[in-house]
Amino acid sequence: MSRGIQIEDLAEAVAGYIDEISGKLEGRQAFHAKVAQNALAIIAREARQKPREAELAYYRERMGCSADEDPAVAFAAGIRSGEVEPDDPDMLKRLAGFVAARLAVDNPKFSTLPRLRELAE
Amino acid sequence: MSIQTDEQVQGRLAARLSQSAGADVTIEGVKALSGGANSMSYLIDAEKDGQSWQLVLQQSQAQMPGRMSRAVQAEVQTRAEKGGVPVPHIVYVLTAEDDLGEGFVMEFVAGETLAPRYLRKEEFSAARKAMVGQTAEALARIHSLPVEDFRKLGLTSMSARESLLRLRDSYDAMGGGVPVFELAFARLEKRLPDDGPEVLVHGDYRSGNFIVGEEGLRSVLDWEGASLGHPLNDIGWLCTNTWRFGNWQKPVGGFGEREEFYRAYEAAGGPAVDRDLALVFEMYGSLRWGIVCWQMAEQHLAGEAVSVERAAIGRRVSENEADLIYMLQKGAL
Repeated sequence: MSRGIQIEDLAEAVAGYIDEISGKLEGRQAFHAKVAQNALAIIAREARQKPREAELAYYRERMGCSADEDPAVAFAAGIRSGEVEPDDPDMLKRLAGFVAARLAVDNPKFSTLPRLRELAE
Repeated sequence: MSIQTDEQVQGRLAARLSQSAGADVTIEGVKALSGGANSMSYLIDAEKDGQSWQLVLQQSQAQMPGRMSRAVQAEVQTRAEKGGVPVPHIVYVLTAEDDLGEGFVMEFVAGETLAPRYLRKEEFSAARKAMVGQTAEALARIHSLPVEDFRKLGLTSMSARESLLRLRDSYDAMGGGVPVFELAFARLEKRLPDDGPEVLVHGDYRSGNFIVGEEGLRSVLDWEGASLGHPLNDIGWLCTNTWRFGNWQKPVGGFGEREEFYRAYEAAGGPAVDRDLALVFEMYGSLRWGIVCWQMAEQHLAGEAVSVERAAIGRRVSENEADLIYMLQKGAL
């Protein structure tokens, strides 16, 4: 049974369309077509991998955030105020994992990603 | 006025170039090289006494607020040339009568400027080896130029710690809230010095701003970010992972090893390099680039520079978070 067209399917369909027409483009337009395809690939990966959920849950729990508070902003403020210990090895390891998850969406070919994953293990 | 299509404008510029070169200069053609809303660069096919003379015009419609004027940029570049730094020779600085905005004309230097090409292609393998020493020597010369001359030109001076606090102001102005950036700010606030040697800092000394031939470095470009400050600003920026363009095993610009560079820089008269502090400046480089990526995406969101490219660059922030969280734990990348 089909689950219907998901947002990632739409993004990939549009990327496929750009691929069809990009041969006719030149210069700045051709370059921006590549950038657009890359952006659509980010959308598809983000929809499938949902990289922010675990990260925000961690910040929310650490800071005891209310529902209308941005947990990342609250955690950042905690680092600035000294409430969060900046050299805490467990926290640094968790953050390495969260950043690796987002980087795997934004740019999975980035050179630091494999080493970052080792740090998060 | 358009330099590309207006023959009157071209004729007037040719007359100015004739005057300053003391020769008969004609303009045969003008081609746009690159540019955005305010800043353009053109390749000018000229002839000087009948000989082909290729020039580059760098031009802005108006001076950007808070940015160095093109005239000062040209003067900094000229003084660097006199100090033995390889740069394109400045031929002429535009005046109001030229009706071309503000800018300058310099000689065209042939070579490769796209870093991914000279960092990967086989034909540049000898260039990559030579560039460690060449970029070290050129930087040592930049850092040996007399500071007072540039202060008189209006270049501002800032300690490394002050620059960090300024950067944090820009980050706060965008709403802050990036935990890894906060950790980097906290670490750097403890480590970046308020004192140290004061030199002419190029400000954007990196792969991407070099013209490279098969024999190595030919020219250092983009002097508009020059200021006075700590010499490790330039060394840390050159080694920032972003400017290795994927060649992360070669920390110096994607082409060399740190220790070889440091030694060549010191041997060429640069101030002694504090090895640990140099790594701290590399972390500062990643933080700075991460915030610049975010700022460029903000310009898209604010409607100031709308493009898919500007929007997408906002997703390069996580690359810098990755480099920073790695360095925070391992000390170096």
